[in-house]
Amino acid sequence: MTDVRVTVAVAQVLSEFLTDPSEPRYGYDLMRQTGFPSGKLYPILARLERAGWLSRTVDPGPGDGPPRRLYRLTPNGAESARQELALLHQQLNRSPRPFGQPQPEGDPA
Amino acid sequence: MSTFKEFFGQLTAGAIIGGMLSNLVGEELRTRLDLIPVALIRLAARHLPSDRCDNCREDIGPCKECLANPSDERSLSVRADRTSEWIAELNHIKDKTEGLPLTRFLRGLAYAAHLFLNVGDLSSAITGVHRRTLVLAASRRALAVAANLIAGWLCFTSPTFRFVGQIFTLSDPMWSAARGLAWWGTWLDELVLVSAAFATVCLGIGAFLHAAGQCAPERVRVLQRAARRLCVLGFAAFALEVAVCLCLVFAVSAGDSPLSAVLNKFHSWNSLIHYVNNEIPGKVLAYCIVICPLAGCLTRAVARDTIGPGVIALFHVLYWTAFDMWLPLPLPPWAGVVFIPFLAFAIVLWGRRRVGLDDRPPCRAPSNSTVIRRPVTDLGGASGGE
Repeated sequence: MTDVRVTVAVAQVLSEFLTDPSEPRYGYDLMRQTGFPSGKLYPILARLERAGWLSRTVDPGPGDGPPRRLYRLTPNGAESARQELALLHQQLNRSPRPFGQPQPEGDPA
Repeated sequence: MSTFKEFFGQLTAGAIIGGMLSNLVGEELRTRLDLIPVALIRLAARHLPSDRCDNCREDIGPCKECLANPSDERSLSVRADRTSEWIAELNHIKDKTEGLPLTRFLRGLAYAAHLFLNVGDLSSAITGVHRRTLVLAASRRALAVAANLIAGWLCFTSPTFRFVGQIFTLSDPMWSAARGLAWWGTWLDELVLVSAAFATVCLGIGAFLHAAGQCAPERVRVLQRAARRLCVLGFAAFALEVAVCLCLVFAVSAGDSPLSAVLNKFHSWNSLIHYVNNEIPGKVLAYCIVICPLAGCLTRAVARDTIGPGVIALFHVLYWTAFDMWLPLPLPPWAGVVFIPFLAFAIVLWGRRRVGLDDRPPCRAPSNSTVIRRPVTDLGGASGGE
């Protein structure tokens, strides 16, 4: 399993998955939910899949054409995603220190 | 009244035919437009890495094992997998926009175009390799293909133009009469010319098809099949040409015979082995490439009555240089640069056949030496009558 650099876009995809971690999703549905175009979404999904956070399975489906692929959060992926999102949330919520002012006491950063 | 009826009939017929035509054209356009996103997806997939098994080669195609078991999981490449996924999503978009042709086209196009424009990121995400590295690797491959094409073109044009030049010299009646080539001007020379032209064209196109195989790995098998057939045709024409010339050699003086001229042209054609990632495309072609130049050299060595047959004469005719210049030396000093790798190549072919390996030995050295030899001999004016 490799590390994933959780950017805002990756966090948005992960949070979409975390709304119901057990529910598998199609690529096109994720595009509509996140608002990302295909060229942006699929590289993110591929990175998450390569890191072992997502699993990709073939959905046989009823149609005659090629089967669609389903993306699902793995248990490890769900756990890591929660941790990373919490960390990102914490970092984003931290109020920025005005330039030139001393660091307040008790702030570990 | 009858005029009004005629006008009304024509109007009705025109409306019916026009409606049918517009319907047909609309249907045709709709189908063609629907194919654009699919084409974009297939183009995008070509930029993805291929993860076939270790025995499969990107430029040659799947190995025999994978061809025999198409359902085998490892024979499904990343490209096929992703193409299948994207086309399935495209079909889903079409289903969702049933009855809305413009929306369907725009959504499908946006989906495919974004993929096509960002396939580099996806490729990098799949392989885990930085995009800059992938771009560098692709550039290196493109440069290698370009270098092969340029080298092939140089090796192909040089002997061809020289051959044409020599044929024109031979066709000069004054020159031919002076050399005692009384046969020239008969139907035999036309046969030689036609077979030579056919051989040149077939072999040339065959060689370029082999080179094109590197640019389009997906079509490499088709290209190689076509190239191999062209090469076989070319060599058949070459054999006819040699046979005719052989008859003429025994009919006229052997000194400056057309046979030596023809074979001399072909002794540079071992450069064609440069193609398909420096590997020989087929056993027959490989042996022809080796045998034809050697036979050419040998024939010229025997035919040179001024020097007499022998090993020294063999090297002499290989370079057709001012022999007196090299007379103090047993051999031209750079003869080994060309001749030894060439012999080594023949030995490698023979050795690989002995141990039962396939017919794809590495053969960069002899072809490169041929590429280098041409400008050197031209520059030094040592190519003589070639």
